[in-house]
Amino acid sequence: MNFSQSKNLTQGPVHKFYVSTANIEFNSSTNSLEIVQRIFTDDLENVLRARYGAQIKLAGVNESEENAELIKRYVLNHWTIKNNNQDLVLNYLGHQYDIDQVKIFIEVPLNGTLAELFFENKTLFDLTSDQQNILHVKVGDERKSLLLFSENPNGVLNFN
Amino acid sequence: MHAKFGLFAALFLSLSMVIGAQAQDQEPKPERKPGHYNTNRFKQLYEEFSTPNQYRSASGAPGPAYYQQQADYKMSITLNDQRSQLYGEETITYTNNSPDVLEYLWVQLDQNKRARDSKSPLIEPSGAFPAKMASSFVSEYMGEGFDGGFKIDWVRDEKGNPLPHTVNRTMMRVEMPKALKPGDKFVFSIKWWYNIPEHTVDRARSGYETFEDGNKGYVIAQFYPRMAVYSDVEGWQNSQFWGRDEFALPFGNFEVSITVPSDHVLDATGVLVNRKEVFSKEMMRRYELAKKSYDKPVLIVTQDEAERASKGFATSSKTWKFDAKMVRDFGFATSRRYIWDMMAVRIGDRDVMAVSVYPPEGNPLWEDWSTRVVASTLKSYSRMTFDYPYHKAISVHAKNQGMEYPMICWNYGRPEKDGTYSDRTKYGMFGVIIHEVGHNFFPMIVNSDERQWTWMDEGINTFVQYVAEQDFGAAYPEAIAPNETYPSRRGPAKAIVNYMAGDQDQLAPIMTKGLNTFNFGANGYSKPATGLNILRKTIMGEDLFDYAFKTYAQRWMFKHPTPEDFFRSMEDASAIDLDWFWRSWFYTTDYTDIGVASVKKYYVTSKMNSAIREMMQARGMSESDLPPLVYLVEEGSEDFEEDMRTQTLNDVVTLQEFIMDRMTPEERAGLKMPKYFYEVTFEKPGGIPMPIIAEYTYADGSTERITYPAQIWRLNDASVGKIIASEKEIVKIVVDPDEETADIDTSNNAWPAEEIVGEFQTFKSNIKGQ
Repeated sequence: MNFSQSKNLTQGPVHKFYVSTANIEFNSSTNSLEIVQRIFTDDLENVLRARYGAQIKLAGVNESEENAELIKRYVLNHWTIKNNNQDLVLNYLGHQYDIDQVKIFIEVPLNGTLAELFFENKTLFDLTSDQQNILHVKVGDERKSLLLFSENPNGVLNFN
Repeated sequence: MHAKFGLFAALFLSLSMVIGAQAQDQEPKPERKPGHYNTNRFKQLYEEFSTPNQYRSASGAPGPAYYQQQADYKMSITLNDQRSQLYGEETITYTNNSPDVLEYLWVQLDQNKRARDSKSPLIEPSGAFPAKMASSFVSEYMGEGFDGGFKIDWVRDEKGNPLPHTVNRTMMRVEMPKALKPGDKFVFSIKWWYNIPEHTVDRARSGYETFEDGNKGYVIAQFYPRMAVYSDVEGWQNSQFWGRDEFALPFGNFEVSITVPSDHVLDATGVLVNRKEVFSKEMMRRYELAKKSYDKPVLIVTQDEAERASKGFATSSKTWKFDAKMVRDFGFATSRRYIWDMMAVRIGDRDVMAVSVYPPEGNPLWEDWSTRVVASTLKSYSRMTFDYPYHKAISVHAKNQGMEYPMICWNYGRPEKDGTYSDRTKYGMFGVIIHEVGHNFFPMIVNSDERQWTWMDEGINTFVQYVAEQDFGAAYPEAIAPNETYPSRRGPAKAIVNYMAGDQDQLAPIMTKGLNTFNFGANGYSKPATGLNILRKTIMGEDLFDYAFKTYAQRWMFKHPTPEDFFRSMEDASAIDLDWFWRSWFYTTDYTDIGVASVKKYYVTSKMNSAIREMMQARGMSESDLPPLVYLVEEGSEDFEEDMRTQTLNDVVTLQEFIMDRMTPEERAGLKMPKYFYEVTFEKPGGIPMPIIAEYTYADGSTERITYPAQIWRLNDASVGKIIASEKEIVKIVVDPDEETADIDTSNNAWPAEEIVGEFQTFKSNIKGQ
C-alpha cells in the first residue's frame, strides 16, 4: 500500500502543499546573482529539529547565534549553483522572518560572464518527498523558472 | 460649425488614404493578413459558459427546475479505543428528486485511499533521494504498510436481502432491485469497519494522534460510506478520491449514535439529543452558564478534569446521540484527554454556540483564543453572506490538522511543551481556525463540488478569511499587538505577484482541477482569493461587490452551485460586466503589467503646426478653408518656440475669438484655464486588462488620482494615450501607486522612471549599516 509515498493530500490552509520559492535576480553592476529564498518557518524548524535536536526553536525575532548558524549551514548545504560548469561560491547574508516564512538572502558572485546557469536546490527534500522548490530566475527582462522536486532536483537555464 | 468640422474630418480622412495609396506604390505589396475569430479580451464568455437552462438560470440563480438529491443517514458507530478501529452500521434513505430514472447508486469509500491496493501512490512520480526521514523510509520500503481502507461486511436492502455491489477503488456501485424513478426513495444499509490511521504519522485528514501519556485524540471524518452527488451538471460524480481534491456530497438529515469509552468526551456535527445522559450534573450546570456567556468561554470540562481522566482507561462505554438537519457530512472528535469550552454568540436573532475542544497540549493558547476566534469568525462570515444557520461551531485542536466538516473542524497551533508559543504558532492557529470555521459557509452550506473546483470553496473561503482576519484584529487588538492590523498572508494583491510572475510552463489557470495544478496553494487558494479582493477593492467597490457576493451566497445556500453560477450572479447583481475579468484571471494564466511608456508635453497655439500645414499643402487648401482651430505643439518639436512656455490660453487668438464671440462674461469667468497639456502613453506588456490607476503629482506637491476603467484597453491591447489638460505642471506619474492590481513588474510604473530597490538590496544595505 505504501501510504507514505502519497503524502500529497495533507491538509490545512497552510499545509495542503509543501513548497519553497526563491527569487533569483542577476545584478549586472555587481555581476552576481541575488537570491531571496522563502521557506515556511515550521518546515525549516522541523528539518533542523530532525537533524540537530528536538529542542531547536526558531525565534521569529532575535534569533540566537546557534540557530542562525544552523539555518545557514542547512541552507547552504542544499544549494549548488554553477556558471559555465564551474561551482560558484555562495555568500550567505542572513535571514529574516515574514509572518510564517523565513526569507534567506544569498549573494552569488559570478566567475566571469554569465553563461549557462545550473541550479540545484534540495531544501527540505530530506523532510518530505512532496517538497517542491520553485526558482524564479530573472536576467535583464528575461524570466525563467525551475520546478525542483526530489526526483528532479536540478536544472539548467540559458539566457540570451 | 458642424458642417465645417465635418468637412475638416473628411479632408483629414481622405488625406490619410492618399498617403496610404502612395505607400503602396512605393513598396512591394504587403501580404494581406488573414481574418480571425474574435480574440478581444473583452469578448463575452458565451463559448466558455454552457447555455442557461431550466436548472440553472442566466442570472446565476437556481432555475425553476433546479433539483438536488437527498441522502438521509441513520448510523450506529462504535470506537475501539484500544485497537483504534471504528465499526459502523448505517442505513441510507436516498431520495431521487431528479427527473431521471437511476439504474444504480454510487457510494464514496474515501478510506480506500489508504487501502493497500490504493492507486494514489502510483500516480506520484518518484526518484532517488539524497536523504529521507527514517520513519518514512521504513514505512515506504521496509514494511507492508498500514492496512487501511473500508472492510465492507455487507450491503443489504430494507428487508435484509443482500444487494449486489461493485467496489471501484474509492467508489462503490450499488445495484437496486429495480430502477429508482423520479420522486422515489431507496433504503439500504451497509455494515463496515476500518483501521483508523494515525494522522500525525501519515498526514491523513482524519484519524488519531497519540499523546505522550499514551492516550489518543480522535478526529474522525469521511469515516462512513457516503452517497455521491448526482446532479444536472455531472450526472453521478465520477472523479475518484486520489487524496487531494476534496468532496462532493448531497444534503440530508443525520441520526447518529456513537459509542465510545465512558471516560471520553465527544462532540460532533448536530444537536446532542441525549445531553442529560452523557453530561454530569456539573457539566449541565456549566453548559447552562455558557449559553448565557457572550464575552468569555465557560469551561465544560476543565484541564484538571481532562488530566485526571487521562490517567484511567474505562472499560465501560457511553453512547452519544446526535441529530443533524440539512448537513452534507458528519464528523466527530473524541478523547478522554479533551478540555471543552463554549460561549454564546449572537447571530441575527439567534444564539449560536462557539465551542472549542482541545487537549492540555494546546494550552494556554487554546483556552485564551480558540472560542473567541470561532465567535468572531461566525460574525464576520454572517455579515458577508447569511446568518449562520446551524446552532454551533466547534474548533477541535489536532496536531498539524486543518480540515473542515459541518459544524466541526480540526485545527493546528500547538505551543511548546513549556507553554510558550511564537507569533507564527499563534497566527497559524488564528488563521486556520478562521479558515476552517469559515468553511462552514463554503462549501458546507454553499455546497460547491470540491472534487472539481478547489477554488470555489478554498479560494472564496480564503477571500472571506481575509476579511474575517482583519475584523478579528480590530475586535481583539490585544491578540495581535504590537501589530496594528492582522498580518494576513493571503488576500493583498501584492502577495500573489511572485506566483503570477512565474514560468508560464508551470502555471495552470484557476479553472483547473486541483490535482492537475503545479502549485496547488497559490492556484486554489491565494490567486482566486486575491482576484476577489481586487474585484472588491479596485474594480467593483465594496458596496456593489458585497451586495453581489451576498446574493450569490444566499441564492446557493444549501444548494450546489457551479463556477458559472458564481460568475453570473456577481454580474447580475452588480450590473458590471466582468467577463473580461473572469476570462483573464480565472480562465488564463495571464498576469498584470501596466506602465507609463512616455509623456509628451504640449503647448496650445493659434499658429498652424507643420502636421496640418503639410496636409493643407497636399490638398491645395489654404488656412481660410478651415474652421477656427487651436493647435498642439510638442515641446522641443520644430514648431516649438520658447515663448510658448510663457503664453496662456488668452494668447491663443483663435480660442479667444471663439470665446468672446459666443460666451457671456459670466460664462467666461467660469472657464478653466489649463496651462499644461500632456500626452501620456500607457503601455500594457501584461495580458490582463486591468484598470489604469494613475496618480498625478503636481509641481506644488498636490496629487490627483484618476482611474481609467479596464475597458480603456478594448481597442488597443498594447498601449493607449490620454491627453491631460492641467492648470499645474505635472512632475510625476505613478501607475497603481498602492499596488492593488498584482502588477508583476513595477519598474515601468513611474514617470520619470524610478529606481526600484528590491528586498535583496534593502536587506544587504541594512546588514551593512549594522
